[in-house]
Amino acid sequence: MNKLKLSVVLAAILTLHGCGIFSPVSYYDSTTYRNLTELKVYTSFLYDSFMEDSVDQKDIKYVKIRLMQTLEYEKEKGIPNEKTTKQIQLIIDDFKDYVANRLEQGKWNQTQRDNAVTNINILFDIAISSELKKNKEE
Amino acid sequence: MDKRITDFVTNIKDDTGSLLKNEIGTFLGWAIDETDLLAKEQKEEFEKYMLQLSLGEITPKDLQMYMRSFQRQVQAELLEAGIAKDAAGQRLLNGIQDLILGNLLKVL
Repeated sequence: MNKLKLSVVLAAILTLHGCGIFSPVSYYDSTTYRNLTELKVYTSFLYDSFMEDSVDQKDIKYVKIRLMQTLEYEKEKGIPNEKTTKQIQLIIDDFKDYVANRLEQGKWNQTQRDNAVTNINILFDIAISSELKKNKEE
Repeated sequence: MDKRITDFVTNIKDDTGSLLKNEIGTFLGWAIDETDLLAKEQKEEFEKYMLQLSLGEITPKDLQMYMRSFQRQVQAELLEAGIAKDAAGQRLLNGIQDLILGNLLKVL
């Protein structure tokens, strides 16, 4: 291969790499970080309210929508971001489980609330820590 | 192990004639490698939940739900690590779910 052809091939490879086509790396995203930290607080406050006699369906719906929006946002990043997408899906599964428990069994006591907050926070912390470990420069 | 847990397990009315009490006793007495942090944490959490159950602070359905949370946490950790680490932790989790919860919930 002569030098001209080699240069053209190298330029094409560098261009494609620049577009992320050859890159299996998912980079740090401040929007993901903000979504996760905000949702961690929202769910904790919602679980606090599960100790009250009545449940506010609007609050549950709001958190559920925000979680689903976050999931869709992560899915759009494609295969390199699969790990984060799966971690958020696990958070959503956990959230749905606890909401169903509250609706079925009635108001929580302090122990049930503490266990619920601890468990969802562990999942959020894993996802947040995972995001923070990603490379910050694209 | 907290005596309240052993008393609770001893007092379970197991009309099915199974060896559930022995199974739980063996399981809770299972020695965990102190260096296996995930397995150690899971065992401590399970004991905490068993105590809460014995005190009537949580229901058997709550316990079952917390075990599902454990499973998700292990999955999330494994995704983060990217490798199948903490095999002992995974075995412990499977043990809690298959050996204990399946039977325990039938007699509580």
